[in-house]
Amino acid sequence: MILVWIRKYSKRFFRQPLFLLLLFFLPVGTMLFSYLAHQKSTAVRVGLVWEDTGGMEQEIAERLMAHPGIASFVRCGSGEELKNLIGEGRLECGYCFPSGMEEKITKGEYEGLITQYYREGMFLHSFVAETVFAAVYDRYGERIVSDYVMNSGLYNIYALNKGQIADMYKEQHERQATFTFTYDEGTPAQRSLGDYLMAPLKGGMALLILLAGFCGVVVWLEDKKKGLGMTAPAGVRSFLPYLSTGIPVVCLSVVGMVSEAVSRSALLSIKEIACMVIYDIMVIMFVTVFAYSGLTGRAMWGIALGIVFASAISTPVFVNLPAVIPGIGVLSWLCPPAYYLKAVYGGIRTVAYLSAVTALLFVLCCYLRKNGGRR
Amino acid sequence: MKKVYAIKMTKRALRVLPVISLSMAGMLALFFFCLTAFRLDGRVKVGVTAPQEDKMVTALITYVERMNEISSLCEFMTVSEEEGKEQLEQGEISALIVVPENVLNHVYQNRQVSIRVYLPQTPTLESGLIREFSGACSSLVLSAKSGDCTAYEFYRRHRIAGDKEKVVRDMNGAYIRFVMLQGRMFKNTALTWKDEISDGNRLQVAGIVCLLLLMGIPAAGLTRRLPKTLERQLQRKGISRFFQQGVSISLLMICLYIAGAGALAATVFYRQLWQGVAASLFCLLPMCFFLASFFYFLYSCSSKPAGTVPMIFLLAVLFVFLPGGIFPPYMLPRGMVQLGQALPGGLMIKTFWKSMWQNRIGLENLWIFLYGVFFFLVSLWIRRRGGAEH
Repeated sequence: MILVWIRKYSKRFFRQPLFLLLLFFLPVGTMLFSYLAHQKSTAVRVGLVWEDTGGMEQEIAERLMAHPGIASFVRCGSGEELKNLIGEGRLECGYCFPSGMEEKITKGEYEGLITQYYREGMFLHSFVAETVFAAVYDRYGERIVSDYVMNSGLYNIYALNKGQIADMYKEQHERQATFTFTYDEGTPAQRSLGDYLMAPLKGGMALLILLAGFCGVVVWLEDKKKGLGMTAPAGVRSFLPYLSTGIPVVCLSVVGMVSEAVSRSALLSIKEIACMVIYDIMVIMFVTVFAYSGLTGRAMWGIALGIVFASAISTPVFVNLPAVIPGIGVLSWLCPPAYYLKAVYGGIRTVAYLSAVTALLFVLCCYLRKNGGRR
Repeated sequence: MKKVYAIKMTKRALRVLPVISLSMAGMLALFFFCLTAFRLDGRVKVGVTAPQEDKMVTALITYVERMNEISSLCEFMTVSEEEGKEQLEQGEISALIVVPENVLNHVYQNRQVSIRVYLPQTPTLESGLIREFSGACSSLVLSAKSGDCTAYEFYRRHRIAGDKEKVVRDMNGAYIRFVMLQGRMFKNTALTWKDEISDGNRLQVAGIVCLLLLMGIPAAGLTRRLPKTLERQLQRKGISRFFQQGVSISLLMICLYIAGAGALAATVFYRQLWQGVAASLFCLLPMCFFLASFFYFLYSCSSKPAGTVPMIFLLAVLFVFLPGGIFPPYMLPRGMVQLGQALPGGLMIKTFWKSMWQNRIGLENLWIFLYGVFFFLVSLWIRRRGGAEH
């Protein structure tokens, strides 16, 4: 009997053109976005201006051009061109290296030596400036040691020349692998900007699933108001809210998993699928609690909006806001996506936490249903 | 009869208006709370675990904290490893840097040493920036070490005077002096362009546009289609579909205008942008017309909110995401940003910014209005064809 009702409810959702469009658009849109985000041209574009004199500035610029990371360095003909390209939005920031840079630093003329152009209000140039300075430091480090050896009076300078010092510095630099930063973030491989752009997908899907749950519950409330549920046998009637919320939730979860698999060209792990299943149950229970609390459909939309918005800002869906604004993380206790994201990226403890909260919601749901839910 | 219908619909609108207004007020309060907190101290928190007795490491951390550009973006906090991991898991810090014992001794003695960086398991943009920053730091240390090692090596082979400690002291001094030059070496020139929105302003405007788009969710009650039998009865009484649609869209437009004006008032008050009030209120008109027509169109396509509401949410995210509201546009694929700026979301962000910050009424308003007319006509056509049944 329950299968008949599952079919009936499925039909109600699958007859909605926008629902079908959503199910189709999500994987296709994600695939397209993933393709665009992983193109080489998707990077923070930084301009460099230098003259081909074979000096330090040229070496620094060449090192930067080969630098991997979220910034991509390109050469510009002149400072004016650089400024215009920044103005046109084709570059984000830029650096002009003067000719004879090495001599100028040695003479102490380092004040305002490198001109940094950036668009007002852009924050990323601060990080790019550190990368540029590291390249300058790296190249000038060679000069520091060379000057020291030649001028400190501690060395027998007749037995060596500057070329030897430069060669030794380069050799030391290449040989060094003793000092490293080791990253611990689940995926050890270097992430590209495209990976970071795709990162909100999991959280975004969690938000959509939650919203789909609310849609399902509103549909059930409307049915209840019209008395449609009364046509169902008594045994099935109590399952109707779960059916109504479960069908859109499950459909969107499946589409979400497909979208994710398509975007990263790999299947999801068993843990990810398990977390998604538990999250689905959690969402169904969570929205059904609201349904049993006697709220109207109109009020339900207000609550749905509030919870989705709170979830978007208190969980690291787009940016990790709780790490910048202390205290906002407290909001995430009320938001199912936060438990899901923690579980899917965290250890077994967080999965247990997700399961425990789901179980708690299930108990609450049963309690509410027995005590007034059938009103 | 038309008057009776209009009054009935107005009553319906009055029931929807509090939900729209309250939702907008609640979300705005949260949004401005976040913006205020960001403006007060919007630095990314980074935990550092270092051996306390190692004075050189403490000095190094103090130096990193004062690094020219990083100090404005990151705040370093000393925490124990367990505490740091806990805070990272709770999302209270963006990264945890664990410095091992005697790290500098290891560095100078050419022994393998790693500084461990724990990043949040959820990959967000800050983790990418922290990787970039630690890459620059790593390069600084390796360059200094290359210089030291070169100096030692030559000292070992060609010394004529002094002692090894002097070489160590001198080299360290020279490298530290050079690092200290960073702030003075760069001449910063901020370029301002007439039509360029800063990251902060864009985020603020995009937030309001996103909230306005989300208002389509509580607006369901005003836009959903009547049952066919009731629609026929109304037509028999002289109330055409055009009239029904006109009344619904006008009422929804009024509701959205009230919510939008509230959002504008909050922004004007928050940023003290008094000069652009009149222009922004005018620009809100075509925007609300477009939004009302668009929501009406979406609800014409589906009789149940199951497809419409997630679609509105998705479009709200896309409209704000594509023109670079959440991620700045310079980080997104170029073609996508150009497309986003031609879509209503991008146009709304631009027109809001122009009116509020520059007191200008741009041509974008016309495009937004035309988008509104397009959706008005399409939804009329859909409903005439039968649309979504109840």
